[in-house]
Amino acid sequence: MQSVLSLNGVTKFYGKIQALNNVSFSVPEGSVFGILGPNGSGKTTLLSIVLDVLKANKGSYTWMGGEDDGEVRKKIGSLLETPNFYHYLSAADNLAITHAISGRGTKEEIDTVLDKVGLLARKKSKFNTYSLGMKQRLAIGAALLGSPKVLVLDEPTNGLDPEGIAEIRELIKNLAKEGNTIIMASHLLDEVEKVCTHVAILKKGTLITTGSVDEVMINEDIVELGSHDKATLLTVLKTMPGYNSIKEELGFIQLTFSLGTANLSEINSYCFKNGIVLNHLRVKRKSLETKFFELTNQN
Amino acid sequence: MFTLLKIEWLKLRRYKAFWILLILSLGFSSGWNYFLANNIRDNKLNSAAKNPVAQMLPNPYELPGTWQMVCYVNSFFLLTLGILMILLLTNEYNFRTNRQNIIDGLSRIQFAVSKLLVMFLLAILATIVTFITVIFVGRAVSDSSETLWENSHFIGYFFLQSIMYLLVALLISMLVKRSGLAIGLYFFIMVADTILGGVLNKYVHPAGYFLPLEGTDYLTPNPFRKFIPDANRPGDNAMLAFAAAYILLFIFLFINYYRKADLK
Repeated sequence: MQSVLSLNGVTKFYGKIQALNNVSFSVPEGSVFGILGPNGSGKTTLLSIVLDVLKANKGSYTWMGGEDDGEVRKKIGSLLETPNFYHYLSAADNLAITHAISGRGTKEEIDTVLDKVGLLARKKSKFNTYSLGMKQRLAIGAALLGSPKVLVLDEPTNGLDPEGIAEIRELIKNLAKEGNTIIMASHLLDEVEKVCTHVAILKKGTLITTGSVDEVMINEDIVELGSHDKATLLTVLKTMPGYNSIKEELGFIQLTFSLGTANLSEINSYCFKNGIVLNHLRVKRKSLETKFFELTNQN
Repeated sequence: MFTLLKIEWLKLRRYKAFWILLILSLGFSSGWNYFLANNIRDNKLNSAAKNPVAQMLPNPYELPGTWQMVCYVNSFFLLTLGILMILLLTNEYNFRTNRQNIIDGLSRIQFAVSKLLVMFLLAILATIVTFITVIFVGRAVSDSSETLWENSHFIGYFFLQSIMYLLVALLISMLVKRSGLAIGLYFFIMVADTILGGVLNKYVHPAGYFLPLEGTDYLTPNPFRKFIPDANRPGDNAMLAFAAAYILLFIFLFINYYRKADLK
């Protein structure tokens, strides 16, 4: 599969502070690619560099396999850090400028896009009369103008209410279904977990890991078991061969196995043979949050 | 280039401060010239008997002196135009649209060039208004318009001066990014440049004539200056060459900055 965006050893210094350290990864076409990291880990710096707003000290990047000459940015719908619009112009006038610069969409589509982000009724109001959430919606609308195949969204749900967050999540899912590529930076893990297919995790400017969500998240099988008689279950399980670790969590017992070795039927029949009837048995995926803390706390 | 101008037009057409400052600097300057020209003429006529000296001094607005006088007076109104130029660039920083324009697909050089185009258009507009004022006022206060085109080279000097004033405004805005600070610094540099020009001319004459702003000021000097002649004043051509060199240098610095800098 062709990569939409490739970074090759991108390094950035702000004075003496190193914001990005030799970061390389590729964003496959059609993926929803989440760039994760705590505050100040370099997510926005990274997106600013690939959008040519900041200059890298070292390293390079390519969009759709080619050099960045401005033309490529016209085809990408981007929202970087804050909604940036002319305060004295209305939403419609601002999007007319987006259209004039990028060539994306048509003048008629401006209304369609404003409707999509729920601002059609306020399209003639000046930007500086908008609330924070409305500004963010307009920024998303600007990115969506002309239905670009690639979107770069930096903290897209910033400033939105829960309803707005859910709407954006649906929107991203639908865009992904249509085969668009979405590159998204976020520190809201829950948000990323719900929509992303691929992730790159940054910590203090260093890339900790990257890959498909499944690859990054699952490096062992976790099996969760439950029974009325938890004490006996625990004793029985301790005699069972094959697992790596055992612990109690949230009223259930968790067993970990090396990746791909857990066999639920075998576990079930072993317990039954030893007089235990299970009322809960499932393979559990580690939550992104747990994984994130694991990854960002090591090294 | 046309696309870049169209984008700038979309930014400007509903910007009230743009229209107010434009009308203030251009409309007010024409009115002020007309008012001054008529007043001086009327005073001369009325005071002829009482004050023979005033009678002897020429009306600087009479042709062919009109060119120099209007250009001299209008050079003060370039300051308001300079403030407008500062607002147009610092707004982009304030709204962070300098970044958004790039993100949306302008190249960094296109962004710089579009501001330079606006700068040139404002300078052309100021020059056209000055030209019309000269023709109108000159004819109104002169007995004959035979010498109408005699000193018309001043309009070319004024155009160069307009570019210099607006370009300095752009450079300051590029460096300090905040409107209040940029306007303050603009006035400071205007005053400092004049004082430095005077000091230089006193000690290392005629270096003062070759400062960027002072140099173009000397091209459109106060008409009454000719009564205190400076034997060592460099020729117009030397000052023109310096002004052109400064303008090219400033344009290069401006574009080069946007080519390389981190846009904050």
